[in-house]
Amino acid sequence: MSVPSEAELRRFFDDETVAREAHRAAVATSWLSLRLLDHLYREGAASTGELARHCNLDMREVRDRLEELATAGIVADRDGVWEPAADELTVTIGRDEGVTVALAVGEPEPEGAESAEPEEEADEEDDSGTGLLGGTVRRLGRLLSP
Amino acid sequence: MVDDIVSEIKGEFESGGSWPYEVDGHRFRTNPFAEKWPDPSLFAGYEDELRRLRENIQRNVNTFITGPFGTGKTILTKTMYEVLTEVEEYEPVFVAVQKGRFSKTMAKRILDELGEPVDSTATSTELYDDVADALERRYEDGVRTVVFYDEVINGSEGTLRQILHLQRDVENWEPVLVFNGTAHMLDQIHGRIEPLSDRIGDEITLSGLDIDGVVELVNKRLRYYCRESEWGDGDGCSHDEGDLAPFTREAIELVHQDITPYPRHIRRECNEVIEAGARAERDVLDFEFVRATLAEETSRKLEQLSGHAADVVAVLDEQGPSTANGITEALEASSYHIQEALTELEKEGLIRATEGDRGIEYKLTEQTSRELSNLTQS
Repeated sequence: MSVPSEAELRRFFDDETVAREAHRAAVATSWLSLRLLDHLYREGAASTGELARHCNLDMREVRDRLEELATAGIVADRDGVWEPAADELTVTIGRDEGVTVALAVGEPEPEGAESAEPEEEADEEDDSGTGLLGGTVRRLGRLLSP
Repeated sequence: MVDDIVSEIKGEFESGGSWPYEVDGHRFRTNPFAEKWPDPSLFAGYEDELRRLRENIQRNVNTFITGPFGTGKTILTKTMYEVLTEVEEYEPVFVAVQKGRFSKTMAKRILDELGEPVDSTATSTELYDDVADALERRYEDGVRTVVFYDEVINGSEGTLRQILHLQRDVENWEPVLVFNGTAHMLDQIHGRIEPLSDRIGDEITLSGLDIDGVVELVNKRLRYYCRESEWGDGDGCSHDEGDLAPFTREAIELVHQDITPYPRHIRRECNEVIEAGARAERDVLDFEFVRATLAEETSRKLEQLSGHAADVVAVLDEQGPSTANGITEALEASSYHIQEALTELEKEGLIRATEGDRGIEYKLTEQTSRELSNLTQS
């Protein structure tokens, strides 16, 4: 369940912004993260121990991933209890000279926003996102719990 | 100068090394997890089991409490014993079964606990009759005697027969007998002392604490030993409200995840972590500190493994979770030696026992797997 490091992605894309966003997107949509997010969305806030027990995972692995998700702004630690930062995550993969990747935490913007410059979206840390793969996490969430 | 060193060393001996340990409004003179069970009030978890035992005693049902070593059988029976000493119509007796036959010492202990005179020149049979008479008199006076036999594992078959016959030999009366031993002992009763086995009315099996039980256990220990808490005769501190300081709940959850959650194992692991915390003068023993401490200890323990224990770890690493029988077959060793090794590894927190499809399965803890992988790479 390992996610490529940001440094590996930087070497691959040769672009710091794309690498950073691709790393965030990879962390957010990996199987481990989706299991944790699925539990948080379904059951609400939970401690590391509760998440580990319910998902039958090692606490160390869960804790490390939650910290990565917190760094990406996807979850937040509230006095030892983890909460999702928003109900929606939007991953956008666009085309410029090469690929562009953007992960937005929060409600996706209306369809019209798709025309925004991918490069600008990639520079945004949060609150932006478009609909190319919008709702991927939600759909994968349904796959997890049909 | 020399006097100073001697006095300092004496102080370290008295405090246990890194103590006293003072953190954020709490003060511990000694390690809260060093002593076994200083007080039955530290009993935690097993609420359902305690209630079931209460019902059995009220319904006059003899009960055999079983479970592996360290699951908390003795503290459970001791807690019930303490409760009954405060209930008027009951007279509890706590007897530690000693090796060998129903000895004079055991009979004397029962008479002593009942406040009966003990004839030091009496034979074993005479003492046994005195015990039966004393129990019968109590029955006639409306007092219900409950006899707790601790560590029945120590007793021979003869001891068991004699214990069970005591019930038969007291006319028109059924004293409540509570036994504490391993499942192996109960099997022995059913297998070899068949006519008496129907006298065991219920078996309560202890299999470890859930996370809430562990949190309660840790809090009670901290509260009992913290000089600032109400239990410690202080003005009160957050331990009185269920706080786990200097541990965080997440840290305790990691301990619970990593070892078979028997009270004895939890106590031993917390003992090591808080000792390391006191040594490092840490204010908080959080997830990362416990993680690092456990990793260090696991690595050290793995490097010291030898013989069957090392072989068992290798098998579990290669084959994954397995029963004792599975490991015995894989290693072509005697089941006695494998069981010994498994018990030792479980005590050390390197493996964990869980109830699987094939019975009790053993598996490496996550920490052990990680450290094995690190050792292999290095």
